[in-house]
Amino acid sequence: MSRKSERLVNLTIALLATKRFITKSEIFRTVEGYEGTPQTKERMFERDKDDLRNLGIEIEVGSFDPLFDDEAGYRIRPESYALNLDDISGEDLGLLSLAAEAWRGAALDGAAQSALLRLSSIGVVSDIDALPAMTPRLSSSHISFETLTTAITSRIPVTFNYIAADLSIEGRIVDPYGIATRNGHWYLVGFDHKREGIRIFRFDRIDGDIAKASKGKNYEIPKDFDLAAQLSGADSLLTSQLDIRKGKAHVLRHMASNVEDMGEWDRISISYPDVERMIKLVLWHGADAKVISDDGLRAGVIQALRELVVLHG
Amino acid sequence: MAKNPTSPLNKVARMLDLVPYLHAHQGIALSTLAQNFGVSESEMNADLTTLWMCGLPGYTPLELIDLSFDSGFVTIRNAQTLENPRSLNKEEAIALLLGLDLVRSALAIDREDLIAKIDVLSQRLRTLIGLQAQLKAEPAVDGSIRSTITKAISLGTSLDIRYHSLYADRISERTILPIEWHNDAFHEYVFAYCDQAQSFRTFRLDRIQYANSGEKKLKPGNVSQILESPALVYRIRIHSHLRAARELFEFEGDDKELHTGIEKEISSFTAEWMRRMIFSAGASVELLSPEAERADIVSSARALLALYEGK
Repeated sequence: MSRKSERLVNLTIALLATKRFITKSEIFRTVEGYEGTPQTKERMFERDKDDLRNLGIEIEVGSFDPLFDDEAGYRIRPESYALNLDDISGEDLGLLSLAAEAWRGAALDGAAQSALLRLSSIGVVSDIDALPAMTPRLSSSHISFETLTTAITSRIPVTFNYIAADLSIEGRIVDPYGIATRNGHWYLVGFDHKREGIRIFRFDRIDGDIAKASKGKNYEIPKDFDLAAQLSGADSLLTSQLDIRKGKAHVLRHMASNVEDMGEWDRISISYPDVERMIKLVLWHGADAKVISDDGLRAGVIQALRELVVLHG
Repeated sequence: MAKNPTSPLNKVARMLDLVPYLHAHQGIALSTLAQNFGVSESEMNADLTTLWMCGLPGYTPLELIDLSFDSGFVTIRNAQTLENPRSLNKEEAIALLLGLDLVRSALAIDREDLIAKIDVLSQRLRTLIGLQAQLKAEPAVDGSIRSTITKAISLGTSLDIRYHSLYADRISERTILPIEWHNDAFHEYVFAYCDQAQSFRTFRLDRIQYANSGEKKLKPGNVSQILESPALVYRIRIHSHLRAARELFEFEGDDKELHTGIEKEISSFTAEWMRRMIFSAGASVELLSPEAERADIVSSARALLALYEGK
């Protein structure tokens, strides 16, 4: 199949080198590899154009002379073909290398490596020694990023089956607003069509894969959407005061915005987005943590303890 | 790299990337080149041979790309049209954006210089692909650390680890004998005997920066006692919140068998962990046996209630 790849490279060079639009007949006459009947050439060219577009190469279609309804002409603009990230320093390239390296063995490994090959063709030497030694890693996931990255850049909705809290499975249609990893999990954050609101989906709770929604309309992402705030639940802050035993309950202590020494106990103030999760976390610490104020959390913990007694009594 | 290196499209993509790469790395060894592009040397040879036949219309020696590669080292001339690297596609740009955000969150906060650089680079990449959506990445657990620990648990060997204690905000080197994995709703932990502390400790997996099989062989008395005594078997019944229970207890096998009221057996060396699991599950999971542990749940819960009601 090297004939085909040779033809595609030659076509790219020809379209890239030309300053003006060149017509199909010029292409057939001058670019090596177009052979056979006019219909065959025509079909070859149509397929070649699609192939180059699939590689992300933008072919501009225009006319020779705007005054006449001429034969269409084609060209590739060097500005759109070539990578342009302005001035890249060796340190920048080092950072980008670390960024690509983070994907090793994970979903976008291939894409990250091919990006890196191109960046290292700019002619700048990567200055990795100037950076702190670190090898952060992204976790892998079963979701194919291809559909997701296309959807997220073209802003088209996706659909998938999501496992609910009772393990029932329901189809969802979502406008993706953002992708994130947190604590080793991948999340999709977006507008859920059926629930008419922004929801967070964990990749490992998606049954099967993500697909483009069939009746997808382009959407706009609200200007005030804040992914980090969504994930930390910053817009629904609840606060409580807790007593925790000295030298214990480090997870809670780490969340504290304020610590007051009370002798055997420390009184801490914490902020959190979700009372259900917080009840679990307090219960997890058993006799090392006690909720002082905020009735929602306190009542929730007491209620859960009573239920535990009834259930096991 | 590409799934099928010999498909025509992948080959075209590679050849287009080869030209600028060779421009920036004149005289590179063929073997290095093949390795960097993730293909065999013969595949790389085939690419170079094809590329050698390409050029500007006319295809006289003046217009053809001039490559020399029969000495084992590759140089390129006369390929000005393709000498600038291709732009990044959406997937590549997103890979770099997520990677950059990860690096950003892993950097110490005093490296404001690098954080500023990352922000500039990210903005350029976003502009490049016209991205509106937001991307955010936090460091994940290094998969190799998890597998090192799992292996050590199964072999009963000790590990040297570097641990970042969240509480003390201190990094310490420790020798541990890992015993079992634990999970709460938020994180993964390894329960282990710690030589430095001379007792049992739990280590949060994402705080372990490094783990390697240790020189020292740890086999203190109480550890071997734990290892030789069989793990306790707990019987539980799941009343609600099936998904949470599945993720908490990491059930193996077919999830679809899970239903409310189902009974499952869990084994663990540490009764304390089991108790914490049952507590944090609220009343969605019931501990059926051992009887003594079940009774303990009741007395612990009563004691805690007394603490609340006493005030």
